[in-house]
Amino acid sequence: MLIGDRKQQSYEPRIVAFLCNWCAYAGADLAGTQRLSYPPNVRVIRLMCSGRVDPGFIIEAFLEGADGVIVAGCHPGECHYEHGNRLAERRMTTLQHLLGFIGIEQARVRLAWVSAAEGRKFAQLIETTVEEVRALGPFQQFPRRAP
Amino acid sequence: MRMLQAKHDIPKLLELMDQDRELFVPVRDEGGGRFARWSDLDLSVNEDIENTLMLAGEATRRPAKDQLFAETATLFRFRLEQGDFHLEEPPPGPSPRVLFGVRPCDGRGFQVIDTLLVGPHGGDTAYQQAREANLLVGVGCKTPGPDCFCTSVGGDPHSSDGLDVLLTDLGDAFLLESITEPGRDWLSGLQKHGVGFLHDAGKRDAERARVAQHEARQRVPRQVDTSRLPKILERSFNSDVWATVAPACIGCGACTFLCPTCRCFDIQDLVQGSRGARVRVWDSCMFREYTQEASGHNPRIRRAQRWRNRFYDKFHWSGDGRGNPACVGCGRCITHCPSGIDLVEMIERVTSAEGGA
Amino acid sequence: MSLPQVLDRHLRDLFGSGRVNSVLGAIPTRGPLGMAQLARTPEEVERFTLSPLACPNLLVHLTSKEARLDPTRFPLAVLARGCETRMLNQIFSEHGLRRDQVYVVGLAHCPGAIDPRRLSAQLPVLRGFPEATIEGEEVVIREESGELARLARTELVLERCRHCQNHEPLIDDYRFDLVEEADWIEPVSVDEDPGVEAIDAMIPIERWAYWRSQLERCIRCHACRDACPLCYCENCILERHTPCWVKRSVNLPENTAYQLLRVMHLVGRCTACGECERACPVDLPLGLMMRKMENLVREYYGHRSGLDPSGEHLLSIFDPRDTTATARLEQ
Repeated sequence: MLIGDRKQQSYEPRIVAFLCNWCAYAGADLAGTQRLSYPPNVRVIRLMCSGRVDPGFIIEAFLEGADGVIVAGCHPGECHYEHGNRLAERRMTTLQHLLGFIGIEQARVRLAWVSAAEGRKFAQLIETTVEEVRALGPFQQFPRRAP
Repeated sequence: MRMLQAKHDIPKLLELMDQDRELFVPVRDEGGGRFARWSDLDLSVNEDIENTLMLAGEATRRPAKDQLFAETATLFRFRLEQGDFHLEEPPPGPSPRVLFGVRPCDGRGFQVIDTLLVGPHGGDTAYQQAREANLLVGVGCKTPGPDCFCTSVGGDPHSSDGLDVLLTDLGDAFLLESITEPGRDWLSGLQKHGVGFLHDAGKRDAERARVAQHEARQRVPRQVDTSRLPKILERSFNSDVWATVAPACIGCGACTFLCPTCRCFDIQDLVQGSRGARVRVWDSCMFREYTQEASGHNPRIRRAQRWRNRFYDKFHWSGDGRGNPACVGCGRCITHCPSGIDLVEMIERVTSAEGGA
Repeated sequence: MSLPQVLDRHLRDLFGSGRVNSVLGAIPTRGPLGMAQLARTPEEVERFTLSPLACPNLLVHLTSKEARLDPTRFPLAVLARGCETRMLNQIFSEHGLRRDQVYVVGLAHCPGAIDPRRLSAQLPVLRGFPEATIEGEEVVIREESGELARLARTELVLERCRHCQNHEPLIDDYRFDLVEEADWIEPVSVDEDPGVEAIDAMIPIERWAYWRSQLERCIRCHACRDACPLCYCENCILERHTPCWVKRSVNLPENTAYQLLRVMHLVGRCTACGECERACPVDLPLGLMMRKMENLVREYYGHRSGLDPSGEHLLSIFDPRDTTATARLEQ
């Protein structure tokens, strides 16, 4: 993924989505098999659990040019590993606030619960996120410049 | 060639300097001061200029070093095309610049850096280019800082070593002395355009300057005998004295990164997709990572060893190529050490512990 | 100024009875900042000082790599103020050290420690082992030549002392009162932190403008990390090459990532001692970030690090009542 100076007018938000294998990824899969349409701005990274998402992953995504980041996992109580998603919740909440404190708009980091049966919810999640991040404009705070 | 100008004409002089060369000046900031581009500053009234420029009192916390030896310098770029690496033209060197208000200790610091990065067998291109592009205009220290000890390491608050032009503060005016050929040319060029506020200096001005310089020398607050160190250090490598400082050191790089003579660097490749760059970044011998070997072994695992290394580098292994130590006595590492470690005291401790043997 | 006799004797007895192998304290220097010192013999205790100039957080010398390379220093007695005992609790709770490795000499009624930068701003030149004593709301600074100045305590103490809520040791094996009467500075109240609030009141673009101007200055000397007694990972991710989380280039993106990662590794652990901010050679307002996060975890999770030596790590547990930030906003 190459980073350059992107002009506001031709701006297509780039969203990185960290999806858990058991729910959110299956939800995304379902959205596909149901032929639901959602914006193509999302790059999916599949992990075994939302609890695997290190806050550093999100910082790295922003450094490498993401405009927004989604972390999606199983609904509370339904985690394949019992409570990985609840741990993700605390990590993402604190990170979101830290980022907010230095001036990164809160809508750029989103934590959501998507079950394997919620193809429609997944499509909507992407749609809302893309819309909101589009409204915010490109992430310009601390992306790495091309070497 | 010596010229004098009324102090309140400094802004005019700076505007003039900024004509042919890009001008950089020492400015106060929230981090204790550093050099910045003159044209980036938004200074309209004289009062602003006086409060912002650090021409008297304490020196900038970050020495002038980073203007020539940047924290991060791109050496060259490369790209991957059809499975092959292609080198791209190295970035052009900097355009002519003038660093105004360099403290004599920082000026002497460049001489130490030169010994490593400007070698007879070819040195560091990026640094050499920066060195050639920069005219160093120093300003003598009228009131040295609280931990200054430059006179103990072959320096002086008005040392002209490494500088092209030296200014001496005469209270209401500055005396400008050219030190080198480029400095002389630059100064005469400046005088041609500075009609009205640059004048030829007379004998009396020169005398006043000498008095001011002598007085400043008396104000250097700290003295320490470093003359015996080279001999002492020859036999003290395995002394117990090094362990005495280790308990306080936290192993950060504040001392080395604020040092006008520390010149260690690391080379890193930054790669993004099919493009990349090789960059030179500062490194510090106070870091564990500095000597970490791929095998996992680290020959300088203890802080005492790392501290000893820095001390030996300053007073034994390296120098300014003119018989002086590689420490210029600016006192920054003392004032800003988060652990309160005092280099002067360490010099005394080493000398007294090992001197008699 | 050496230690009061009763404390001096107690420390010597600790050696004598074989209770400890070393004592960690601070000694005076010629400048405005005391220096940590590890006494290995009873005689070395003599140089210790309780001066408010001895402000470095000593605990870093308990958890550092250097300390781990040198297990013979344990069991170790440490002179610890309230803030340091709170941090010790945190270290015990995450098994960084065992309680029986540390003999805590609690320094009670702490009136605060003096910020060397604030002192230097008022008295630029201090010569030869300055001394400071706190007398009520005044700090008396003396040099060898005699009394130099009387300065207002609130103007001189460290930022952390202004916010301090731990004037008394939380744990101790021995207790010593620094002042007879506990007349410490009123802390900024728990809910009020003018510095943090000023930033909270900004809109994102202003916040970033502020932090950008600060973070650009970072020289990446690692002083913030190295001064932190809670940054004791065997392999710090800020130093790692594979993967290389933070590139070594010194520029705004990497500096920002550096600080964000550092803070995220301290969320829920940090006891807001402010040592990172004090150690910073270019005066980055790092304490603001730390206090913001401390306030946040207290508000969201009722969590205060270091109060309970058997407490669990905030980010390793959860509460069924947790909600996300987004959910909170929507409420």
